Amino acid sequence: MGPYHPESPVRLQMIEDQLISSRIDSYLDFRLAPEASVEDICRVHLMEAIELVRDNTPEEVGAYYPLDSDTMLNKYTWLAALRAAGAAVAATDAVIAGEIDNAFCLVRPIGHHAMPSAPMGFCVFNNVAIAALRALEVHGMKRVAIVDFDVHHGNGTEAAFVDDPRVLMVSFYQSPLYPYSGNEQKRTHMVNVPVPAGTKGDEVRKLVTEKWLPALHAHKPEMIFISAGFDAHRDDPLGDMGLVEDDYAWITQQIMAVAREYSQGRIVSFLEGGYNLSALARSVVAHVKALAELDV
Amino acid sequence: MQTAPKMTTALYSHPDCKLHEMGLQHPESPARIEAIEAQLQEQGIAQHLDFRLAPEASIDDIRRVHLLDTIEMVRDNTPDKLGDYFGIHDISINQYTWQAALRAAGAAGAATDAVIASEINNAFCLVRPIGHHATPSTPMGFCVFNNVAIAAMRALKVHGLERVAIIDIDVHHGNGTDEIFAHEPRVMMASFYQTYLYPFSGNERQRAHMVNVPVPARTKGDGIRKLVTEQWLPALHAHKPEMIFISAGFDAHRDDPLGEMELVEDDYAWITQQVMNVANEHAQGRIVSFLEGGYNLQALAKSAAAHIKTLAQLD
Repeated sequence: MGPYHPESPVRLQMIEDQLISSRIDSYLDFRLAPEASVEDICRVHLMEAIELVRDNTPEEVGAYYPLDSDTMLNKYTWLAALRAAGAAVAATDAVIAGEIDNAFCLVRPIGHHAMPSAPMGFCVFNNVAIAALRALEVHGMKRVAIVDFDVHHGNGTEAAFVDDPRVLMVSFYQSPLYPYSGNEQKRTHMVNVPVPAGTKGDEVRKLVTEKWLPALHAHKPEMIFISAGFDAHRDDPLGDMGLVEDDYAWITQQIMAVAREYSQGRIVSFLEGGYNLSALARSVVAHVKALAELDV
Repeated sequence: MQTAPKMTTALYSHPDCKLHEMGLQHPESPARIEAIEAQLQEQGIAQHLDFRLAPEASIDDIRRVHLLDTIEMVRDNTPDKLGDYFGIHDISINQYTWQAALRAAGAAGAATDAVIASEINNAFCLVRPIGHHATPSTPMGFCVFNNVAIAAMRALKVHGLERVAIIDIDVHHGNGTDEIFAHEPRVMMASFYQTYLYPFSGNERQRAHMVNVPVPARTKGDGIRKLVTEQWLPALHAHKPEMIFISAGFDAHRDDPLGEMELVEDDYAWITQQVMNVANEHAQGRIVSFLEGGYNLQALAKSAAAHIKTLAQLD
């Protein structure tokens, strides 16, 4: 989205490099994401929103179509968005089929701000919501959960499921911060907890223990999806919270314990934010290591 | 002897629209439709209107604006018996809400088709549940499906119109309509809305095709006429809409209990005339208007009558 945009392709390269230098890449099953079908995407987005992305693809590299002040389409955005959403579908199918235990989708554009009506906030299609609705509508699951630990409120995910109690959403988000939403919904299946700037791991662990886990145990999800943003890290330039790599490993382990109890361990996790490249890469490794239960 | 109407104005409604109710004390009540119908009779307007029964909308028509998950949520949470409600975001679903919502959205489609086919000059949809707060994924604020957005999308997608406009004169920001068309420059939206009032949204979209003007409480007709003249009309003339849709809420009236603005019936007639002038110039006069808010029954009925009388060009 331009040379100085924080949500850049380098994020994926840094994570890939870190997976290799941490020597965990050999333990992972690397899979190419297929393209999503429009049918899968339109469970979450209006046709109008899908066509908006498809029909405004610029013809040349270096040209951008702005959707809002910080979300741009380039020549490859449509293709990338189909792959990101396709990863959501394929990973969900593979986990439910028992081919794999869990999955991390290292994809861009990211998704949790994307509203049913339109992309926003670096996000094009809401990958995690597409995955959750696939599990519900295609695989006939009755209850799933979405865990969002990005520093920003997952407003798109909340909008998609605010009236769907089959989907429990648990998150924390720094408040006040973009997108300045999140406090208005008082619903038992939306456990989205605002926290102030400066919040550190001990307080986040406390809210996970006291608010997320009881809600998750009550909901008994048959599958868990994670919006894994790492911009609540203390080194992140866009967030002002104080998490470290160990906190991400701990949160991931808590989710895995719930998944083992109710969901046959089924988890699909998606990259969301995280803009300090080094902190992002180290945090993703901590997260993926916990998912893969690697002790290397 | 009555003067013959210069225009054919249709009035779309359906008895089911009076069966949707949200509790005895709820301001958005079936009595609103009855008050307007009585006023149209009393003022001798009714006899000049072409009364039409709203058909049920198809799911395809609604899906242009709402997610299937949301549509099914409304359908599947219909209570079994009268007096039971399923509540979400300031909207309660009763035994007849689904049927009424299908008729309200169906009026949108049928009126749009009839106006484009030139069967009628324009139409007023006297329907409930109302629509302009409903977002793609959330019925809210007394609204279930966004009728005006369903109509505009039908004009674009089925009839192939290239540019339409939506005028929203409700005291509340039409957040659902704004959200649906924020990225759709074929649809120009012009509105005013009282600030610091439900749904507390509206200032975030700075786009040429979204002329949604916040105004403070106690704004009167002269202030509104000024902003219509200075902000709406230039934008409308630049957009050259081929059809105009109106979200006709009458809760900016000075007697309204939910809004704190100070419009009177004449202001609604004046605004309607301005919209008609634009429609006559660019849109072959094509207008479809929808009931939105308005909660003082007397003020509502008189204001709606002023609006409809202007649409039908009756003296």
